[in-house]
Amino acid sequence: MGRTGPARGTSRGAATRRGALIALGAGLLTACSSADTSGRDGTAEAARAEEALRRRSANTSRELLRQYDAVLARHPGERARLTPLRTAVARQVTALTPPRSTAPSPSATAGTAAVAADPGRALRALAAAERDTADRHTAALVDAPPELARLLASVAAAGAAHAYLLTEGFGR
Amino acid sequence: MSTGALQAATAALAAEHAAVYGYGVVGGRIDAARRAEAAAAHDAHRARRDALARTVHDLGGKPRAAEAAYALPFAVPDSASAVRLATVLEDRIAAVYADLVRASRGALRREAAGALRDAAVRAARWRGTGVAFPGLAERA
Repeated sequence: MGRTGPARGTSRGAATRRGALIALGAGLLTACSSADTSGRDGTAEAARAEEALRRRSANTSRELLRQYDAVLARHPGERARLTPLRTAVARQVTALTPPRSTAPSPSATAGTAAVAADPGRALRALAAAERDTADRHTAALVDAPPELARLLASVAAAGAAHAYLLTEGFGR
Repeated sequence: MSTGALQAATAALAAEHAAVYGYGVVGGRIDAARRAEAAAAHDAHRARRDALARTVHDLGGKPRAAEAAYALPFAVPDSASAVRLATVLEDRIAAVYADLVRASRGALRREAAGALRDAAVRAARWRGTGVAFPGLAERA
């Protein structure tokens, strides 16, 4: 305790007050540490579950991003239509990725199916992939913590809109 | 469920009332070619409004009726501005349902996510393009 602190007084009243504070402090410390132990475990577990869900969801969207890249490589003529959609999916991957996570999981590289030679068929396949991705995000949001559920619902909604644009929207 | 769910459902109901009113204006101004689309959206919002009124009631709240009239965000003299109004209505609807997803659980959360999805698809129809995060103003 600092020498210049306000509790430096030597009167009995001050000493008693200080004693009461110490006693109270000890009580609080005990209460804190016991609550903290269970609380910290629960919180840490919830944080781990959220991070795992974020990572899975980011991988789901990252797989979709690869399919965009595959279609763009095969059909460069679709670049003008597809680039805004691809950009949105890339932003979604970033938003879903857990804050401290670094490299994307390399496992999904093999998952990209062959791209149809016909551009129309390739876009319809991409629309199906968007819809499937949206369904997976929708299933995931049911058990997600509130803020992540909101993000997943938004990303799923964007995917449904993309599926519409890829099938009917471009005809307008 | 929580008071948060009731608050979010109440806000969503208010937005659906406004959307029903707004689509009345859209329907009066939009080109014949897109009138059926506007009418379908109008019906969809009426159905969502009625479902939300029941939800607010089930959550222990008192569902509010629509206002007599709503201020439009801009003048709607023609079909192009009617399409813009429809887009704004869907964007606002998407935002309240995104918040309802966050505030709710279980069946209500799933329903809110479905409503957000429908709003995002209709917004894309009107706009002709998508957005990366429908309903999330902070990421717009």
